[in-house]
Amino acid sequence: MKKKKFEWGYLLLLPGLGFVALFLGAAIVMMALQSVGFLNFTGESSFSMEYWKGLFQVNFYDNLIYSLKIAVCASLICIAIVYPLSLIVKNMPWSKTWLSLLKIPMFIPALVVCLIITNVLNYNGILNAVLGGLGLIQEPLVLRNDPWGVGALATQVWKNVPFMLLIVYSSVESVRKDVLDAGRNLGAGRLRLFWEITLPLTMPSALVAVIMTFIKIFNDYTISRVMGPIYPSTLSNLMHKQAYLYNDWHTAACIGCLMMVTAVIFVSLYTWLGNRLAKQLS
Amino acid sequence: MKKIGSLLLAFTILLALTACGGEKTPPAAGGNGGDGGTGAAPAYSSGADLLSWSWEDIEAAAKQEGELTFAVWNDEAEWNQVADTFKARYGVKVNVLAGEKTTVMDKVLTELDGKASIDVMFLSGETVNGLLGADALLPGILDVMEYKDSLVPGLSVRKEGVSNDQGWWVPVSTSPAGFLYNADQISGDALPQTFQELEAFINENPGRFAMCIPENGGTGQGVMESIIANLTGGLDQYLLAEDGVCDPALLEKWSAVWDWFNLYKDKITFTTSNGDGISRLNSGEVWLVTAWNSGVYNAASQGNLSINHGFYVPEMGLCYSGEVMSLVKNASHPAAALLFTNWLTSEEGQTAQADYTKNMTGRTDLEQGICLLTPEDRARNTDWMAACYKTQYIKDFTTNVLQ
Repeated sequence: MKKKKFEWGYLLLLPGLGFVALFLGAAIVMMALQSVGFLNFTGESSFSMEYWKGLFQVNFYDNLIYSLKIAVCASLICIAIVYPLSLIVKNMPWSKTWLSLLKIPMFIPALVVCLIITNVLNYNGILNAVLGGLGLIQEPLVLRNDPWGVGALATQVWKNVPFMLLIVYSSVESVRKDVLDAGRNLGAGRLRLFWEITLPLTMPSALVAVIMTFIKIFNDYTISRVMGPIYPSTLSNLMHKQAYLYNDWHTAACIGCLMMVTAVIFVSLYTWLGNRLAKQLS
Repeated sequence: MKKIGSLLLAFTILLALTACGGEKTPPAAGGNGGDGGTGAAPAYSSGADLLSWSWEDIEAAAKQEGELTFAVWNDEAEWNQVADTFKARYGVKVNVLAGEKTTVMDKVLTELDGKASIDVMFLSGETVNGLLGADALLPGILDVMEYKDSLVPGLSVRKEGVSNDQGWWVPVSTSPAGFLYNADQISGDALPQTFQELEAFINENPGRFAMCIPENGGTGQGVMESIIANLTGGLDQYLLAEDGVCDPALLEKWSAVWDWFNLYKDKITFTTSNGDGISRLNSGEVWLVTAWNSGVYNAASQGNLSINHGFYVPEMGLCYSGEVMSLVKNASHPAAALLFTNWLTSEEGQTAQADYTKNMTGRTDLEQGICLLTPEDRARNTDWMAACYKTQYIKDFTTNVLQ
């Protein structure tokens, strides 16, 4: 029997597989091990579930609910803005130029975005000046680090609308004109055209956009740190605090594991619901 | 042709690997290992050997070592400028390494078995017990400092509840905390001085008193310590902690503190950082906020504090902070680290650090015009609680007040 020759070509897979194995697989396994007491940086390493037990005493739920709330609200507001914006830009002259301009916030670092929004929402910022000038408020509103997270929400929307637009616009633009014309010939108005043609055809892209934005915001550190409420904050902030303020890397690893699990569960649920909705619409 | 190509490829890889491994090896502690050395310094194997040497010999050894690594947690650019002044004087390069306090500690602890890459570092309340417990710091450095008698007594003796009886650290700067106020909104007579007057101010002016949440800034911790001291029978009982462990009987008294906060928290503005408090005061949102002397000086000199303002230490007392430096026991460049520490406490070093970092000097006989407080105010600055109490109230604040 002829011995099968080794295919050297498989070695070409090494860079990609190596990256996945080393930087994703190994990192996740290390984090999971750290969450149960192994890989201690400074002391003895041994199996322990104490960190998981203790996790639920470190305000984890408040931070989890806040992370979910800000991620869900910001993603939904973004998609609600992006659809009409895409349709408007699509029908505008020089649409490519407008699209390029609208993408600019995506390339601005999160910290700079925070400073920009601070100028708008600050105690003596533009919004309070306008509202005060119109006589709508007697005392300036506190919108930065406010307990409801208005500042963080506004910043997330400002930062993520262009990202979502990038995905949704190309999908909206690709809806064939003859399909829309056929709908019009059959007497459909603008709203019905959107509801029965554009939305079902672009639903997969919209889902991808919402899911990616959700994950980005759910894992956010910077914007919530600068603009978010004093308490609670995102899970990333809680993780950072446990690791760097209390030097408790094991609990930080538990939070990291739960962040990943929560994101996977939520994304799966959303995808399932989205697919059902898309089937119903089509 | 293929063979030539393969040979060329192999040669290139070999060259690249050689280049990767070509990092300059630091001269080992031993005095005569550096290139270009004069050979004037006697041999030494660790920093402990240097403590009995003359400063001339230490300087010669430092020049042979040629460089050192200095770990800081803030003002990296400013410390680089201080480092340049040192290099201009001695020709010894200071590599400033900026990192989180606990991260730097972790690095020192993981390098305990060999030669440490960090030679000298700032010491904080969060890390002092861990480093001393691991025997990671060189004792006896305070005693050999040329300007020892002029260094601030408080920080020379104790750092957040840990005694410096073995001379592990040297104070290099101070920064007192005080109340910064909007002078257009609060007149001199109405400034809260006692704890009861602060309560009255908060009641009469809801939302106008601001403090940083303790986990995000030292000024918030300063207010916390003052409130705890005023509500539970004074600060002295918290200054020392046996084996770095909090006294449970003292912690039981803190229920009064959390009751107080829950009564007043809706009338207090909590800020996210020390600097955030100053910017909110400048915007008119708050009228009274705790701040560091250095923070107020920097904000005012950079035009970020444009309102009519004043700064004082209330009679109820507020802490003063400061930086202390320690040498890592197994430092790779102990002579350079020792020379740098001594220089930093000299008039030239103190002037450089005050000019660049805007921290007040760590010496009682030198002032650089940075202090915004009167001597009477400074006399009201208090010591810090032991580090374990600080860690405890930071955790408890989240659970009992914010949650």
